[in-house]
Amino acid sequence: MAEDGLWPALTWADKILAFAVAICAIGLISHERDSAAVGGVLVIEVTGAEPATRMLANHGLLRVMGLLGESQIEIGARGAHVIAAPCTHKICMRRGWIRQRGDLAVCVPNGLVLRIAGTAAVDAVVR
Amino acid sequence: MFKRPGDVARLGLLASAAIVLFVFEALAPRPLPWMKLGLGNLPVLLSLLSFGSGPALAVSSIKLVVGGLLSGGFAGPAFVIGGGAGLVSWLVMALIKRYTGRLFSVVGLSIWGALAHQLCQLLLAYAYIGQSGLFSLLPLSLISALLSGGLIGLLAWWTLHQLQKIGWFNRT
Repeated sequence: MAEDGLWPALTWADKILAFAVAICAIGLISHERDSAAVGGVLVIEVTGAEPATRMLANHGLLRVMGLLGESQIEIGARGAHVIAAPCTHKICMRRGWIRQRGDLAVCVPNGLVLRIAGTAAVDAVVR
Repeated sequence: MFKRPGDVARLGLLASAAIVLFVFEALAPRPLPWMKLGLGNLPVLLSLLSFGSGPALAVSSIKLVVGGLLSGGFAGPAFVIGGGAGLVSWLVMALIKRYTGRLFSVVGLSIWGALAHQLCQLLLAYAYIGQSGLFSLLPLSLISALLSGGLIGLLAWWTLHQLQKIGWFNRT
């Protein structure tokens, strides 16, 4: 590398790779958009426990025990969001409100995944 | 591996730069919660191109361990996931460089590394928490890999030009 000089900034293989990745991403996004709509149900998945659901119309505060401790989830008119978490980086809190079907908020350290789904027959209360 | 006087010092400089960039990025605000530019990967890429895969692995490992200790996340889940993804990213870049010759430029190599990092991160996060809903982040991960890999690759290409100007590659 050093002796032969630098490669050109972009080769044709780079361009094909970038194009292929972009097409895959756009395809996946448009597929999700086609089925996207405002969701009606919050699905709460915690490592080692059965998933629970809660209707988004049912506003209130949820307390979920995860691997590290308790996460608090607020359900309101704008959807659901994590308002307190025991993890270090608080990425789940910074995710903000989730509302559309397929939206996701994840807290890996606490083993918690919040997902918006369409409808569900069961409206479980999670503590 | 080390053919010139001062190569160990040069590699040490790259490792130090990797740690500084890694810690800086961990503290800096992010445009999106899950999106990270991967500035710490720039010295790893430069090491791979200047010295080869072994020294690049050393820089990557030092960055992960010392950076993890300094940023307070050492041995936590995020460290394991990020560290595992970082090592897979190094492996993919080293293999692509070795077996495809000059098919891919610095930018292409960097995009491959970023793709490997993002996909491995998703798989490790899935292995850790076991929730398949994580895979709905796949399109965002691909876009993030393309943007961050492309930017870091261009930055590496520019940096290599500058290093060449100051005699970084000279056998002196």
